Amino acid sequence: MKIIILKEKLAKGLSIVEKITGRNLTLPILNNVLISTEDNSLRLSTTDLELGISYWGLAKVEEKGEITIPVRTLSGFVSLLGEEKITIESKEKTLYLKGENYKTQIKGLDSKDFPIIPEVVSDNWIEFDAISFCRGIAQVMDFCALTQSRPELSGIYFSFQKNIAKIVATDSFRLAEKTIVLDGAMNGINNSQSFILPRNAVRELVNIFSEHNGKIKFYFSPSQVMIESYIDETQNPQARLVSRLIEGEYPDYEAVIPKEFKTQIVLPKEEFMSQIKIASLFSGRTNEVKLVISPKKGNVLISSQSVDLGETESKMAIEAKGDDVEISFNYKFLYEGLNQMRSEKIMLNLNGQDGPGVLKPSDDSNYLYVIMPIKAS
Amino acid sequence: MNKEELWQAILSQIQFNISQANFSTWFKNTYILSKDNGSIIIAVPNNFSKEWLEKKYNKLILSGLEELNERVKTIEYKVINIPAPQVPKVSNKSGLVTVNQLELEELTLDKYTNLNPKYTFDNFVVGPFNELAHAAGWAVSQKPGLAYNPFFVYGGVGLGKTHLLQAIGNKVGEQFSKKKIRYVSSERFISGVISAIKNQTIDEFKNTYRNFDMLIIDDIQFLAGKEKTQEEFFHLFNVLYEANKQIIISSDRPPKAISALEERLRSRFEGGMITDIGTPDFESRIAILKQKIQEKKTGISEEVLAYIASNIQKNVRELEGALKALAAWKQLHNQDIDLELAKKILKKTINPQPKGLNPQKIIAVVADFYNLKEKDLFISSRKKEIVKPRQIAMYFLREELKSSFPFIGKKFGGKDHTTAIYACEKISKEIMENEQLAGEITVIKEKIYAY
Repeated sequence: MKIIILKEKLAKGLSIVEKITGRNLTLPILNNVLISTEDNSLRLSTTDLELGISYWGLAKVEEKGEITIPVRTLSGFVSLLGEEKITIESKEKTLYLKGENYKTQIKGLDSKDFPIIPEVVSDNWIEFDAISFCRGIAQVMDFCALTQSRPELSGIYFSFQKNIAKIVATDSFRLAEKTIVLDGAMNGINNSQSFILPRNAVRELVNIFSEHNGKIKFYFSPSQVMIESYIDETQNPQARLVSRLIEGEYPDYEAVIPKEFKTQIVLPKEEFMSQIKIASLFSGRTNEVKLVISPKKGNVLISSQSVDLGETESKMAIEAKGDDVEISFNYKFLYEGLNQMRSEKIMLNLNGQDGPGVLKPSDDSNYLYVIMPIKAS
Repeated sequence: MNKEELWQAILSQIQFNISQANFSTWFKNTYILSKDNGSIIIAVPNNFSKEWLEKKYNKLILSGLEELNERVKTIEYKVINIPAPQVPKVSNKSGLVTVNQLELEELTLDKYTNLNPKYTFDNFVVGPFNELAHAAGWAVSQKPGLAYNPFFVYGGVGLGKTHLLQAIGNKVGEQFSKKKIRYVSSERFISGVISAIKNQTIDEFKNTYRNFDMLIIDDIQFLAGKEKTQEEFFHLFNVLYEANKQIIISSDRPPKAISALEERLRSRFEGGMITDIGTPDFESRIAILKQKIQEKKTGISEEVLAYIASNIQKNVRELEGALKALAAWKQLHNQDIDLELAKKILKKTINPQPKGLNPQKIIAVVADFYNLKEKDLFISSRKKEIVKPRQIAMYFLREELKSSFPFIGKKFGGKDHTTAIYACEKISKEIMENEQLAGEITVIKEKIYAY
């Protein structure tokens, strides 16, 4: 193999593929990147046997071939290079990198031992605008369950209905739902299509595609999905992510979202968040912050206390209707939900002190966050 | 040689031909799924293993089979999903989440039956107070549709009606998985009817319910006064009943005492088995507490348990609440709980101050219970439907608020204090003689305090 490639392209590709390596100790080759040639491109591939990531970079291919080498060594070296062009050559199991002022050899392994990353060959696909889609996912992805006790909750749920997609995550204490309007092309997708994508895959998806200007394409099969992005210059995709899906039925999450409320309030987001932050200082080990909401007085009292630290109480004016209510939350759950909303004002809708509450941005009906309170002691 | 032995034999050969790392990566969780007429299907855990075995080890496996004299023409590989390996969590942040953090309960419900798997017969504590209900429920779960149909359970708040209903559903689901079971709360049923009417999907709605083999409806008393829903339920009931489908109903009072329930529905409810769940005696309360402790794995001394059991008498949910409060305290302060401490922590639970109880609340609850408007209680009428609730309201004003007789008389449209005395005495006497009235009084009392 002999190719010439721009340093910038190689560095970008390595940064995309390297994140999933280094987790597997039994099979050392999984710490490697597979470098191969395809038409006029250099292809970089990595896998952890759950996910597979590939990146194609335009290169001058003088001689075809392939090799695998430890990805950390290569990316560490490339990121420190000052020059623009790199000549890459492989002989046997060694990779030679050459520039005007340097000569480097990196020891690798036989590419025949590198796992084959399965591809999804399917006529069922759908296109999204990469940036807005990734932004939507990022708004819910942190809320899935971290334990494996219920595997279906450890992933993010995607459900397609007519011309919208719903993206949902929950850890059973809170639940976030993002609705995305489908405006891209699609094929073979019916109304009831849904799947659960593992959290790691979602994280990589956002890492890889969140800055891609253009569309990304999802291919579906019963047990896997494949996501690709394209650039105009080449026929190859630019980046590809293949992931398994989580088996199992996602719970009937819509039953969780209350439709009617006893108390409804509207309040400025920034101020509310800073008041919660203040109260969190005294919330002690329970993280408990108490809200006393009074529509009649038009205010909310935000307080917390701890035997060891002390206590605090602050008041905020709000627009509200419905019943008075005293309710306690884990401040983290409240804060993290608010943090995903971008509007100036937010709505907080409650159903008494033990019922689920719903947070929504006041000017965006496409996002909602359900939160369970702490039972008043 | 059977499938398992064959695969073992092949694996034992292969392990000498490839590295240990490769062997444990690619052959983990593989097995022979089926084998006939010269074709073998091998189950693999994921698509990576599938690709690898197909492309790299197919020859190895084939030659292994040949050596064992197995005639095999084709090998297929099929992905059989097994859950992802459990990644041990590094930091345990959630350890700080307190016992009191509430969960989105509905997420644990079974998507199809709507049942909560945590309610089973195994964790249902049986005592003299619920023996009959339990035995009948068990019989229903063994022969759904045949033993007692409909099965009607009633009893006060927090005594385990829902637990029993769900346990029956779960048991049936376990034994006859093909049975289509549906658990639904009355509120959900009502809102289902309303939205079906609104969206003009009432036929669809009817059909889904008619297809169930077992219908469990909780808190049927909420159907009172909802005529359209009652009518739908009546027809549904008939269809299911005639097809020998099991119907299970719960309520906070016997069918007779549900006001504003159509007579034809009432008589249908009474056509099956009606059983009540009473309040648990001291021994049962201790047994319940011990059961809960086992579930929650918190150590609390016998002495403290006895204190809780002797002070919380009427409500199992409150027993659990007291236990939770102690468990939370223990977790937070990391200190064992003795009797003195327990008394301090449970002060609020055990001696609740009737917060702002006033005549208005009592009147509102009584009127609501008998499906009357509040002002109906104040008009001077001798109609039986009004006289009795009025007397009961008077009785509660006297019993719970210790109001004076002249005050009570004046409150109800300027009646004489002797009328009030008569009313209170009459109700007190009737409670002793009339079991149904006693039941109603208990329910109303609970409602007054839950208000």
